[in-house]
Amino acid sequence: MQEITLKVNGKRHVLKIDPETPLLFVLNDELGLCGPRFGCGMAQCGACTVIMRGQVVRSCVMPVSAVGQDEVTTLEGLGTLEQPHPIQQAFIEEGAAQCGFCLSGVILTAKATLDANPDASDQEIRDALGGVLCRCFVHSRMLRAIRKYAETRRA
Amino acid sequence: MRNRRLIASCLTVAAVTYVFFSLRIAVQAAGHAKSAPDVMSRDDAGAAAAFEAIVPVLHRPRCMNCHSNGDFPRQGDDSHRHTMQVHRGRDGHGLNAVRCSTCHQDHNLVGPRTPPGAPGWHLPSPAMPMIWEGLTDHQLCELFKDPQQNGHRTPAQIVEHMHTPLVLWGWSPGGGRTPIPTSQQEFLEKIQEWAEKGAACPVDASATIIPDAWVPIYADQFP
Amino acid sequence: MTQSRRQFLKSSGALIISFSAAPWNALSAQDQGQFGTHPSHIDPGKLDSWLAVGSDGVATAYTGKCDFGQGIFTAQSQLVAEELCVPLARVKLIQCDTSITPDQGTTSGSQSTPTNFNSQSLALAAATAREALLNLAAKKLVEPAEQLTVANGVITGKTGRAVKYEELIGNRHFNLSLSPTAKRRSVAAWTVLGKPVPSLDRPALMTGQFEFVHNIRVPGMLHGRVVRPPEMGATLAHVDDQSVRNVRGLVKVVVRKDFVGVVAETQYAAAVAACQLAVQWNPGPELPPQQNFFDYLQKQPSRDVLGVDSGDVDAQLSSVGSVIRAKYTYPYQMHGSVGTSCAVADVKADSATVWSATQSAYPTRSIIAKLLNMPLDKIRVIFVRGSGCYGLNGADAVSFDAAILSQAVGKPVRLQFSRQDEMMWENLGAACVVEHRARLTKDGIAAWDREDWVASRGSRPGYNQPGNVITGMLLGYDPEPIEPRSAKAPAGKLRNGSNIVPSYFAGCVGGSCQGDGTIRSERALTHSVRSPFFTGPLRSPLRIQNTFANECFMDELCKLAKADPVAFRLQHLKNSRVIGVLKAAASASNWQARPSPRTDTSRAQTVTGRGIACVAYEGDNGYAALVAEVEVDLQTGTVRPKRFVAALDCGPISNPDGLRNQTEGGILQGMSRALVEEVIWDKKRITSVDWETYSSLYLDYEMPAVETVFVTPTDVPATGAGETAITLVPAVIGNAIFDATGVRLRDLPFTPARVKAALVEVEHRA
Repeated sequence: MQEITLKVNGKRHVLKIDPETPLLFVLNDELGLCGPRFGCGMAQCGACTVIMRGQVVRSCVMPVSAVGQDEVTTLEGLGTLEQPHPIQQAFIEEGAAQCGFCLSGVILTAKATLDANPDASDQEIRDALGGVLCRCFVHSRMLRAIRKYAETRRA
Repeated sequence: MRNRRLIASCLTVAAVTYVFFSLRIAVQAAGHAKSAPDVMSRDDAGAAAAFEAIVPVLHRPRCMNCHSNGDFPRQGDDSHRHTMQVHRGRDGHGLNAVRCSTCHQDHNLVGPRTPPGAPGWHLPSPAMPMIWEGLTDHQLCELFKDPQQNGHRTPAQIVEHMHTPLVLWGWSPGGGRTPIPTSQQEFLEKIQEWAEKGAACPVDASATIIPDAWVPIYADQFP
Repeated sequence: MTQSRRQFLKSSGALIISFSAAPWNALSAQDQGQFGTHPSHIDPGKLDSWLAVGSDGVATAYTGKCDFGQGIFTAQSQLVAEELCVPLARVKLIQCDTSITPDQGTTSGSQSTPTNFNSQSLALAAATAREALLNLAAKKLVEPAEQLTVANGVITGKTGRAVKYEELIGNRHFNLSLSPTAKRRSVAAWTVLGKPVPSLDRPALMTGQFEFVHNIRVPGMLHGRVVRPPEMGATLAHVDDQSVRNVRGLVKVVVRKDFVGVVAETQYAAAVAACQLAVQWNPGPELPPQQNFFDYLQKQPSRDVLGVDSGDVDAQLSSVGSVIRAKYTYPYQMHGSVGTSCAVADVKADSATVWSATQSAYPTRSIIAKLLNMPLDKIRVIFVRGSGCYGLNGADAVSFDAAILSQAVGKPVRLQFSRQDEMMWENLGAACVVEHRARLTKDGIAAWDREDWVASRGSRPGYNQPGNVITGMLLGYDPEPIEPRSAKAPAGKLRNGSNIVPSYFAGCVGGSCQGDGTIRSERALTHSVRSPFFTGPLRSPLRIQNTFANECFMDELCKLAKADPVAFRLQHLKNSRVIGVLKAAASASNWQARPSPRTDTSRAQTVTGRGIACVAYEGDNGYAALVAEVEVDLQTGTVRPKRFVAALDCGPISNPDGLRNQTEGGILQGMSRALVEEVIWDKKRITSVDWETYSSLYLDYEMPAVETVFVTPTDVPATGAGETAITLVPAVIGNAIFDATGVRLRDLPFTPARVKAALVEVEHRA
């Protein structure tokens, strides 16, 4: 057990936890966050995606001790029901979900990609999503929502 | 006229000698814990043989998977293209927001089929991609030695690089991945010997040697 | 946490209901429906079982059909808003909670819409309530009910006086039965139902606020993991508790027959303990090799059923005319939910609550009671959405497992499967082999015979078959047996629930021809064979396998007849709704009439082709036709669909946006299944245990354009629609590959390796 301080969605948390605990379990169980989800535990599906240092991280394989000082942003950290983030708003408008389990992977990967490269091509966006699974296959709506968001960013 | 040429020659010799000795001092200074290669005990045949001895290691999938053609890594003992469309990117650490560290930690993880890990998990940058695929032993050695292509490294620094956790990971890859079968100690000794004996390169035999441990890349397995 | 319906309703401001002790009555027995639902303590014949109006004007509706992402939460809310004439924002829908919603069996089989959106159950209840309220208003306003208008929960008389629902009934029971004569509002008058209302869960989903069953937290909750056998048929030899004694936070190792699980204080500790626990298993038997599995299937004893048999196919197929035969194979496939299954169980000494993503709240409750040896009325199952399931994934098994662990430790336990637990022990989509043969004359198809072998083991546990899923097997229960039996002559009505009867058959049974086609010399026979692996319903179960074979073979007949695939199908169809969608799809895709394969290709590296197929899902539960345009790379064997055009007729549409979402998703999911999905196994076990060993298309896949056309007759009942389009996808891709290359592929999936091998073989023969 170790005392670890985490910064998540703008809040600071001090926890006593096994340092090898995957960050995902800490986010779900200790902090009660719903955004990142367990899909595989092997970084194969992206359901557990969070954003750290401007990149995406698969929280199911990251030991909580590796987080350090970096701020963690989960899906719920992007925006709220009352004030969704523009990318979340684009997804809402395009109806880009069915069961919704995969959304952390889709939305956060797209958002971080466009943050890193606002002129990312369709191909680059699709490649970035090459490790993200949506088994309801809402792909067409999701890509439309991402394009819509990319365009609003540029404007 | 003759005097000027004589003076010029003397100056040249002096300059070369000066550079030579400075280099030697610099090289000696650059050697850290390992003893600096002593260019005075140069042994081309010995160096070439030492390099030849480590070539089979360099051809193992644990090394080749990150030193292969293309802007992406390979994975597995069959060296198939790394799944999930990961790329080298602009700095070798991935493209845009999907980085190597998105999934790879600084150590191997417990549990089946989890991603392997070592500190600083990444590919060489596109400026100096260190692609070994398709090279003969001689070419490989020349590539190793070329500071313009090897990350600005001297032979001593190459030896150092071989001691980093990322390289040594090849012997403890975890998770059902086949480790490099040659002894790690032997490998490190050989690379040191190569550097100390002057880092000469082996002369190629008639054909390019395709190592048996590595198969050619086949077409992308995803439609 | 256990709440009686009374308490629940009290807290939600709606009625207080008192229940009689005797749940059984004649009406609920009659209401047994498709899935043999059992009478429960909530009488589906009573209006109060379905609807309540609170003193705040909120209409609370209770439904036994739940939303796992297919959109019926929103659609049912629209239905209630429409029929009850209240604003959508004032409808509160409660799904699948065995303490408070009626037993509607399983949410599956494309049955939710037929059951709740036509003239029974929820729709009838809402209509009954509206009429009841009108009658109450008539009395209060002293005006005839016919003169009153109703909107937004307010009833207004001709005189202009108005009364609100809550003034008429707020917080009181209706005390009425569902009225069989209650009239639905006409489709033409719909203001909410039938509109593309955005799915109500979207804001919460996109902002990460949505609570899945995975997010349920109960005070004092512990974490569990199961430890499954390493191979099929393995039995438990020994568990070494000591091997995990150093795992900090471990609470208990639970063993019951072959069931093994661990409970710990944290999820990580449970995962570590599950990995580390030393368990010895007695090996299971060797599995039939995958290499010739379909031949093996065809040699097994089977339970046979004839869908239709004119009695003369054998004779017909040996007389003059071209006879062709073909054999098609369809592999085991997975539901492959993104999220592994999860449940939370809180089992106390005398009651239990289980939060579960099960599609079958009441049957799950019944099984849990059996496995825990507790009285049925002490068990409460509450549906909470899990990851999209597409049929029977691990949602039921994990609920049973969680209950067992919770009972063993006397505390609430959250249990989630590992990826391997989920995949290795799936109730897989069934592997099938289908043989077709038919005779063609100058007048068309003269006779057609088809026969299939389906690998089957277990399925949904229902109310009392725990052995149908892995947990039951581990606890010593057998799956529902398959008793070998030869086929009886079909009698009564044509039953085509699995689409074994192609649309072109006349379907003559019991003296009348109830099929969609014209071919009189017909036979459809199915053999159920014992499967080495668990099987269960996977989106369009058996319908997709059979339709693949039906529609590819029809295409093969078109080729033999040198006929255009649309024209030749029309020649043998008589059902106007199948004809309607076929024509609509052909028209929308600008189908050019010509035979397949195309002859105008140069031997370029990439060729393109188109294919078409049509179906009446389950014979009468939705009609669809689909066109695909694909590209085939002759060098690599890669098949790339470029465009799909679907025509769908499901009667009156409850939500066109939801329907479009489901149709598109179904087509793309079908594409993944047709191109890459296949379960692999070795001598002892399934080796498809994660996303590297079970292929799926990812989000980078270049998506084809998908267009949908809805054909909407309004004078017919609403049918299901979630599984209709996917049914056609493997067939149209197969037909399009044929059109492009002249090569007929009969084995799924259409991987580059299979396509390449087929292309090479044809070249060798040429």
